[in-house]
Amino acid sequence: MAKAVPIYKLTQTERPLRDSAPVLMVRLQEMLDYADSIRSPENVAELHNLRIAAKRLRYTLELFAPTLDPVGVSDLLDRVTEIQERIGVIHDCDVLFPLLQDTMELEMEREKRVIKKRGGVSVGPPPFLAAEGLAGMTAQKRDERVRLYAEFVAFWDALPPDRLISELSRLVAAPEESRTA
Amino acid sequence: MAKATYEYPADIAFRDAARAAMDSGFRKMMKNASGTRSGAERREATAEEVEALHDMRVGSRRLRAALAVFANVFPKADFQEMDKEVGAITDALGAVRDLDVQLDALRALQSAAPPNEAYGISRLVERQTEQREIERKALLVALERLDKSRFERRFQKALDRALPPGPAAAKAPESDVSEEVTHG
Repeated sequence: MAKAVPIYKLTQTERPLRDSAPVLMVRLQEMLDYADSIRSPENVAELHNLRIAAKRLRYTLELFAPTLDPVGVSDLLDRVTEIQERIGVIHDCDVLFPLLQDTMELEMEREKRVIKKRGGVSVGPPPFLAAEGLAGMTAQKRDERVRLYAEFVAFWDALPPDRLISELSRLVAAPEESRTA
Repeated sequence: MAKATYEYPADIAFRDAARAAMDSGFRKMMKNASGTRSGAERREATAEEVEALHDMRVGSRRLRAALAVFANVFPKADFQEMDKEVGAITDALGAVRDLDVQLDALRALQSAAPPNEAYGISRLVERQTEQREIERKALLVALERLDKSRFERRFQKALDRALPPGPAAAKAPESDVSEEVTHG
């Protein structure tokens, strides 16, 4: 994944923590940089990167939370966490597919060797039982991935992402405005 | 509504927040090091040891996030050293934790699956269990490296040098309370 912007270069060590809250906009933008690529379900790496960026935003938001409007920050944290969790379950499927494929191939090879060694006589479980079972599971997981992905895109569109920018901007700016008022 | 992870006052100074946040992550991480290690010493960890590993990972991640924000209160060399070491242990913990979560999910699928699927899943479980063995041993090495290099003492010293403990640090929660998502 793209390296995160070193936000410490943007912080102000001799001032209240609150004054460094604009770094949150950097973290949000890092997440939104992947927004276009989620339109294609094949963009597995980009989706994973979006999740990592959401996680960075969430942890940074938690650090600044006590200095921001509690209701606004809690609402935002809930949504960022939900983004992370929804992509997390999709990612679990994406991690599983190559493992299932590899295991299927390994099992077929192993069973072929066993049968050959026994002179073509199959002993133990029916031949290719493991591969057959894994094929069934792969199909089931593929359906699950399609459903989870569609649900995530619907959730993302309903946010909508642009509103996250305006909400976080308001959150970051609000107390400063009230101090100078 | 999300629970608060940090409980410092709204007008906290940058340096006081840095101290409180890093104390919190560091304490959570080190508090669970012994349970994590005893779990990593054996092939099968107890439920408590699995939980300790998870909590240590949560602490190390929060510590990394805090380091990313508060880095410039440290001399550059101190920051680079701490970031590298916390990053290495976070990765080692993550590799085992991710397999624990995956194996739990696979075993649940296995127990609910028809016989042919259950048999196939059992082969995958065996394979991933072997992978966990590799990651478990790597974690043990990473934990031993922390011990041998006196990481805990060095980190505490670096923190004290950059941010002498003060009243704000005392307000840091003993342990952060927010739940970590499973798919981490």
